[in-house]
Amino acid sequence: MTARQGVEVAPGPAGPGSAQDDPEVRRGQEDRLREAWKAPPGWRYWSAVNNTEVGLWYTLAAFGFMLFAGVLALLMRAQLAVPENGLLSAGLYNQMFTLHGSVMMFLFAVPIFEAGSILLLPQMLSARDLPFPRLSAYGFWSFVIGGVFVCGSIFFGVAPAGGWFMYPPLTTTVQKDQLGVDVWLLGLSFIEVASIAAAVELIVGVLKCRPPGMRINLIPLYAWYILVVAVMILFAFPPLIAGDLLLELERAFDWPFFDATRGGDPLLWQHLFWIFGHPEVYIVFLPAIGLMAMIVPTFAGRPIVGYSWIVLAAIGTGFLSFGLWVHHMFATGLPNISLGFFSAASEAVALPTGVQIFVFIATLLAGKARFSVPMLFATGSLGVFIFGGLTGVMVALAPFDWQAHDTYFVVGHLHYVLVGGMLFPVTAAAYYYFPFMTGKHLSEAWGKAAFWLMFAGFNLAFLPMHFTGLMGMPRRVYTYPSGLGLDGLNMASTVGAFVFAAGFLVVVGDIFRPKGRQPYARRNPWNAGSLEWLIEMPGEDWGVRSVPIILSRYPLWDQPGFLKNLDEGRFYLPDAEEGKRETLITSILDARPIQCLRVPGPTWLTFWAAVLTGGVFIFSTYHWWTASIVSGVGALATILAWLWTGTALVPEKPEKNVGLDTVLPLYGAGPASVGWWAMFITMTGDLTAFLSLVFGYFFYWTVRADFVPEGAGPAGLPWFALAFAATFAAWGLTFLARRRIGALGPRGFQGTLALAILLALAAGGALILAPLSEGLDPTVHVYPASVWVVVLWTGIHLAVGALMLAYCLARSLAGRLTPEHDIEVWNVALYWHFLLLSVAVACAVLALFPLVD
Amino acid sequence: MGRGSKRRRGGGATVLASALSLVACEGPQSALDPGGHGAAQLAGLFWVMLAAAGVLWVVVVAIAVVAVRLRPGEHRRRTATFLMLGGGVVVPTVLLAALLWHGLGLMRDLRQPADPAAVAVRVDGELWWWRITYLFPDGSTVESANEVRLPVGERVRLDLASQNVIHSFWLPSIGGKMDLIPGRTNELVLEPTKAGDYRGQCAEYCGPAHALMAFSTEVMPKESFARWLDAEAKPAAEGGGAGLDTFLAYGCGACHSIRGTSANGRIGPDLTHVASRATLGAGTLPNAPDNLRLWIGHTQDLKPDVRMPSFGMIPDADMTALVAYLEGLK
Amino acid sequence: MIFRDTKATLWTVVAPPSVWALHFLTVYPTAAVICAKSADGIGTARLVVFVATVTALFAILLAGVWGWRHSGGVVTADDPLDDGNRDSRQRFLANATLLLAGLSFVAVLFTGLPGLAFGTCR
Repeated sequence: MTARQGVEVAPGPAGPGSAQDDPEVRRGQEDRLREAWKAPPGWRYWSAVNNTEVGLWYTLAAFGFMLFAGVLALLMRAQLAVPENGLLSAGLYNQMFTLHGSVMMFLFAVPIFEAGSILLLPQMLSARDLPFPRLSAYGFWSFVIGGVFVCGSIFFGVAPAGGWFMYPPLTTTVQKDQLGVDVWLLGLSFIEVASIAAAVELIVGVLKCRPPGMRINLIPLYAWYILVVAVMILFAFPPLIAGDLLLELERAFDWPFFDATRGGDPLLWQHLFWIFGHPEVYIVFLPAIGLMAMIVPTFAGRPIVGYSWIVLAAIGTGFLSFGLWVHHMFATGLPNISLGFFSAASEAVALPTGVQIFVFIATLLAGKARFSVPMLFATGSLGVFIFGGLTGVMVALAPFDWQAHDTYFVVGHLHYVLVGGMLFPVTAAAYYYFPFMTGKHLSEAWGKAAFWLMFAGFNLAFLPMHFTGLMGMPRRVYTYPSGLGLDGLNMASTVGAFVFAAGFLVVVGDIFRPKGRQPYARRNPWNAGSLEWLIEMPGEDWGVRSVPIILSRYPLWDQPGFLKNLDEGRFYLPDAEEGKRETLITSILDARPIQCLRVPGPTWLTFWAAVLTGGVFIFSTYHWWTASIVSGVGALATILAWLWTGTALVPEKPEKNVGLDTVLPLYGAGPASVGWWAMFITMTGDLTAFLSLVFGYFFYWTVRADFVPEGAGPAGLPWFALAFAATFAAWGLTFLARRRIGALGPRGFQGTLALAILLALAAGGALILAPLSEGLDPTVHVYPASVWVVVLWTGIHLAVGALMLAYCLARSLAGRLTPEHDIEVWNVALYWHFLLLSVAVACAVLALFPLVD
Repeated sequence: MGRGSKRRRGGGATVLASALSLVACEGPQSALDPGGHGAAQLAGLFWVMLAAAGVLWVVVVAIAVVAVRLRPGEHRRRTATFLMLGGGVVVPTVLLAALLWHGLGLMRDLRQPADPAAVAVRVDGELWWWRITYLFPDGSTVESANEVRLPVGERVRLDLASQNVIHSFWLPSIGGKMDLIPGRTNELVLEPTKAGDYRGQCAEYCGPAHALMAFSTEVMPKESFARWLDAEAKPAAEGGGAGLDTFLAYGCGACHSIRGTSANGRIGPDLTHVASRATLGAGTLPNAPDNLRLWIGHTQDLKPDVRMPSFGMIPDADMTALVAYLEGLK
Repeated sequence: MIFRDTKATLWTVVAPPSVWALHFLTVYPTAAVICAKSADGIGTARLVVFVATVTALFAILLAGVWGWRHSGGVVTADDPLDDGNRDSRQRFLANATLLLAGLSFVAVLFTGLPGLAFGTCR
């Protein structure tokens, strides 16, 4: 196994005299590369997993959902055009605003960044694909299925109507029998899982799939933003998933987490929702700013001024955004001092945001700015976003928020931030990257018309809302009375909304108008310096002819002969000798080559896995438990088949020459493998969800005097002790199996695993018996419910841990898991490290805390 | 595009100006037309912040436009760096620190305790109306609904609670809002400074009729307030006659109370002095005999999913008597 | 010694904002729990806020000084630190640490202010 630091980067491209001089050789290489990377033909096209296909579908689907949510917004604006309008009923209006917010956030704003990154990031890093193409495909299909399910519900009148924030007890009492809430909880949980999958993919992509020589100080700024955002997803989405779990348990099984009469507290939901919800805003905003950071230097014709400052801003915003969530709860009656901390952090987050804007302005000043449609949208976005930022500083001030909160002021503010900070940059990027995607330009004339319609319409629609709100109009009202002075402002907003929509329609028209006769754009049409623009017009499926050596932030500007060397295959991996899809894995800080990674090709398995996983969530919505379980078993089987046939493949030879006299291994286990990193990252997110449940436990302890009732604890203590002991032993055996796989021999290895499986199951059993022995009934009070939910979470993880060990056992029996090829046991051992931590925390909290409290 | 950028700056200013002229910012529910200490402080703060934001916006956007359109060309690196440090770091840090400190002080000020001698008000959020209970220092109470009366010049404590879903009590002309959360009692202190009629509304989405969960407010001189509260404490006038009979015959008393009669329901609003209130159905309709008739007959059409069924089956003669009786409950 | 020999990594970059996060995770729960359990404890809460703030500021200052030394004193954009060699990469990471120390310092200072401003649990 090669060390994690990798091998030296070659001094430069293959010079004259190398085999690459011969055009015949090159043609042969190109044919083999084309064959390896081509998309499947005919209907099998939809089994593709390559980032160019999946990224495109993902982008189009996200845009489709956006248009749908936009139509809902127009209908709502039509209803609010005049006071006491009867166009929409209250019920329908409430479904519409709920869907508008949910779809824009969960089905457009977050996915469009995942989609765009799947499409762009490999190209920016000259990787032939992301490390887990099938995971991307699985995420995409999950997204489409979940999205269609959630959106479709409105045509049957059963769309969620609890607001995109789904506050209980509204959603657990008044709307208890409404299917819509379950559609929201389960449909969107499904999509959240897909988002976490994308985050895993993108983190590993940025850290491990860079071209040789692209040290951490040279990576494209977009990649920095994606890295930060993907890490944020790991900490932001799990609390919501935990919250969804609690809410669904209350709805389906009457566990009283949010029922004040049985010790619950509705505020826990608000905490969990907004711990997700506020970082979410930055998860949406940062990638868009990342796009700006790619566009601005191109049109300034110079490198960004203050690269470190952008990195500071991205990381700083990522951190601070987790200290803001209570500013959505300023009116819930928390003590001043608590509100003060969040008010302070909310003001502080404006600092890195301001830095980013000034970096762009400084870059434009120091360069020689050229004008174009992308720049038009980019400057427009600055104008809109800055205003949204300034009103953000206002609402961050708790006392002012006591007036502005939940009014149209906030509606105005958030649209300035999201449209200025996200939609306009994304539109700018659509114009900028359209030649990248299709080889052809969008129209300058249409773009200008679209911009001015959108800019004027947007301001006409949303600027008045700040006053509508302060003059007394709350959010989420389907009607308002005449005589409050709101009539003219609302009419202006409605007119503006339609003008804005007309502008966006022009963009859509420009994208879809036939371009058959339009010539292809020339290569690198904007004279950019970053790697994605080395793409040919039209692009080839292989993405990059050879994986280059990078010595600069803007290699297309700075590295002499770059494109010629690249096209002549004078860098790494110029060939696909074995007809396999290959890309390079490099080290984190200095991007030294570590491994030649074989990535998998087309398959239907990911599609079916997504369909069956979707079935679990969708059937559960209707409480069709049997169908749900059948679907779940099917999903598990499909995923196992996918893992068995498509991962940890043993190569036909241990290493290969990737060009430039560099020999790299084809197989790597442990920290040298991308799978290990994926497991590490996934489990970080998983641990966050678990800790959110533990947070819930201590939250109830804080606010309720009757939490941890008198006399709780002692009966369960031995069972908890037993559960921990068994887990510890299972963990020890798993660790031993990993460490001593060679010394144990196949039989010893398999025996160790079998024993570990038994212990894991015993641990799970003991864990379940602990609350049973105390006679805890989860529907009676929030204390037993809190104990049970932690036990269930940990118990399910133990079962999964046992299943993973069984998988390793099976692989070993099949002769696929050997001391030389042991990826699986490394990854499972890593899972068990996290599992041990979870069980330890669970047992300590549930068994010991009641005794000391 | 030099013309374009001027137009854009001009356009922004024009929109702003027209918005300002369009709204005189007056109104019974306007935070910018204050009749209370808190609202006045916050409205003042808003105008200052808005002016500052306007200046900052114009300056930053102007620099951007200069950079992109008016004078594109390489400016000195030093200028750019200076701009980045000054505009991106120093100025915002100082401004935000000052604003934050002011905000913290304001929080302390606005949440000062109420006058202990003043009458307090308990507000319960119902589905979808307001139960208002005046709490005297001696422990006695008077119940009303969908109308809050406050004495001018006193800091009054409002105890906010809910037994169903989360609501938010918002009386923008007097002060900021506060949520009503099941399992908690939140305290809001308001200090009206100007007598007059105001309007408030639920600000937290609470279900189908959220938009129609409003209340009226009258801020009165102290003496008038005391007199009114004495009258409010009294039971309804004697001698209901046919109207009261109808009321009881249709079972209205199962949900509504009229003190001094056998009607003692607790589900709907107390109607003892319903005729003295400004609106019907928690701000849905102005209070007038014709509207009351409409409301009783078509409740579900006027306010979706409200707990009261439409009593369209009441014959005309009975309805007339009922409306006459209720409109006599001053 | 440790101060001089520690190499810049992604971990050193996130150290200053992590200090901010720890500070936040100390002051907010302390105040919340104390005010929920007994409003008289506000004095203790303010003391905790004060001590935590001073400690955090000191730690961040240390990280900042470290970043300053290891980046060769780069603050402004004059040196873009964009060479394709190990030294440039090291100095870039140290520089990012320094800048984040600056931001974290202000953020901790801001977060400490409520402890100064409020003497009750209202």
